[in-house]
Amino acid sequence: MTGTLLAHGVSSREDLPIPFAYALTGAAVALLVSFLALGLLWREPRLDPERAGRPLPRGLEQVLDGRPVRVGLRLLGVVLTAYVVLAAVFGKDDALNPTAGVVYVLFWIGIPMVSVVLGPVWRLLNPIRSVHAALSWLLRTRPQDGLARLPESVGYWPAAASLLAFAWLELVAPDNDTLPVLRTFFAAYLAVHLLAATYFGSAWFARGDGFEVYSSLVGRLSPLGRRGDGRLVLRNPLEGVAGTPVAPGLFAVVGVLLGSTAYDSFSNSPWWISHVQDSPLSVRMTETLGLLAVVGLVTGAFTAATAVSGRGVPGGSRRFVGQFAHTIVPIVVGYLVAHYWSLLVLVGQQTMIRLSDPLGTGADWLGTADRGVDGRLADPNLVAVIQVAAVVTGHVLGVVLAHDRAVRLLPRRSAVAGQVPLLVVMVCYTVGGLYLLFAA
Amino acid sequence: MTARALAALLLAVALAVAGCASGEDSAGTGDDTPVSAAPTTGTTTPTGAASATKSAIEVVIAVKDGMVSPPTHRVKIAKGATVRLLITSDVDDEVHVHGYDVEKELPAGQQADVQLVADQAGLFEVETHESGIQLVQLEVR
Repeated sequence: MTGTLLAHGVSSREDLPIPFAYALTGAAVALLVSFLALGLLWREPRLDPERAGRPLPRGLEQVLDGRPVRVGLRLLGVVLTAYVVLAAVFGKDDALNPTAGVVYVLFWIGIPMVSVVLGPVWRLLNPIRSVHAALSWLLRTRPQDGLARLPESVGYWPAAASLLAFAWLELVAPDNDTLPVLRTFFAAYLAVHLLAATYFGSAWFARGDGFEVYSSLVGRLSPLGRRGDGRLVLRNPLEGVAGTPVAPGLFAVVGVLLGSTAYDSFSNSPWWISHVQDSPLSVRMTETLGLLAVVGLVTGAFTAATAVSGRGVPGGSRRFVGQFAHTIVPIVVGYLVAHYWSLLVLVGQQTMIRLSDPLGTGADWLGTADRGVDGRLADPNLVAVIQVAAVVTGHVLGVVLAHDRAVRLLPRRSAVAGQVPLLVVMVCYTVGGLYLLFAA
Repeated sequence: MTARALAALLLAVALAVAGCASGEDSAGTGDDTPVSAAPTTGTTTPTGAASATKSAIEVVIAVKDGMVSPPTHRVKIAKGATVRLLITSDVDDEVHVHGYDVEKELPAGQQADVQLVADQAGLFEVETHESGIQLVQLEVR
């Protein structure tokens, strides 16, 4: 997991394989639920993201949507980023520097997990949006105005590309826990997205900035959401996910997220490690091809299943890949929790401790320097239960979402049969995920 | 009917997952669940008594021309056991046991003897620092 990153200290413990009984039970439950769902669930679409939900009290909504909170969150994003940049630029490039832990754990794993609970938080904190807004102010333009409109056909493809680039940095790139590498990546990321946002206006971020798209996508699982009329509501998380805007490339975003997590797990297996070390190709090349192959396999299976499901519907074979992409979101989150729970618990705490001394001068700015890492939430038995529960829960939610979308789009008589290909792929994802937890 | 069906479905999942968890408890907490065959003979020789708990486990590894023999594999270790890693490298290097943070010089051609007591559970990589080769994984439970 996360390769040589954080090679020193508590973090270098990896999760034990889950017991076979856990994997088997999880797989059996997933299979059972999938086919029960076909027979038992509703026959008319029920999820209605436009209207569902219980509105928050007006007063609370006005505070949350009010300018002080919004500006406060922007400032918070800038301050937090500046703090990490301080460590990344002026800190010592050693194992105690918090930057790598912040990037790969608090940010890459923590922000999506917070988003699942609270909604699309990175959209509100995103420091690139703030830099862009400041730039626009200097140029006397409005942030939303660009030189050209972002074509609808671009969709989420740039986000998928940015996420794949980050996944490559995390899982393949040499020296990816050192400051020069991290500085280079994020300087390039900032430059690319700032230029794109200047050209296309701030609408770019919601489609092109991989981190923001990731947070917003999994944030749809939050019970806190926005209804069609703009009101903040508490709702069934499934209603939120069902309301994910359909756009080109959404399936690629989901495929990159699921595939890269699966590769991270797979790449830890002794079989793959021997293969990489003995390959005639260079290590990086083999690992790059491995990452691309797993992402391609995950995405390809999904694309093929939706193409088969859409055969009976005019234009369905092409259209369904976008119409069903959101159903994989809970599965992505299930994988995320399963694979990174203990890393978040252990390295998350470790990073909070190291953040107290960002420059490596022996300082204790946050008062956390003397804390120890509490491993109780990463107890091996607890971790195994969390892993199986997360993967199976993601699967069940995905199946229900797919069912609802199928009865909405497919003619009544073929709605059940039409779900089968996607169901088979979801079962493969889940059984594959459990197998990786057991064997890799 | 449909909402109730969904509720029944979720309840079934919850019960099954809970059952799975408690079933494992009764199967013996912390016990070594045999997952694969015993480690390759010749590379891992449990010395001393047959009892897995307190015996020392020897793992012999050689690195030559950047290749590990035996190929990178996983060694199952009962928590509390003593592990002895006997490592030979054809170039000067350093070995690092993750998690336990044990480091030792590997002078070219000389066998290094790394000993540790496997007192924390988890999966730990053993790798060389200079060449960055993963030698073996210790599965302690």
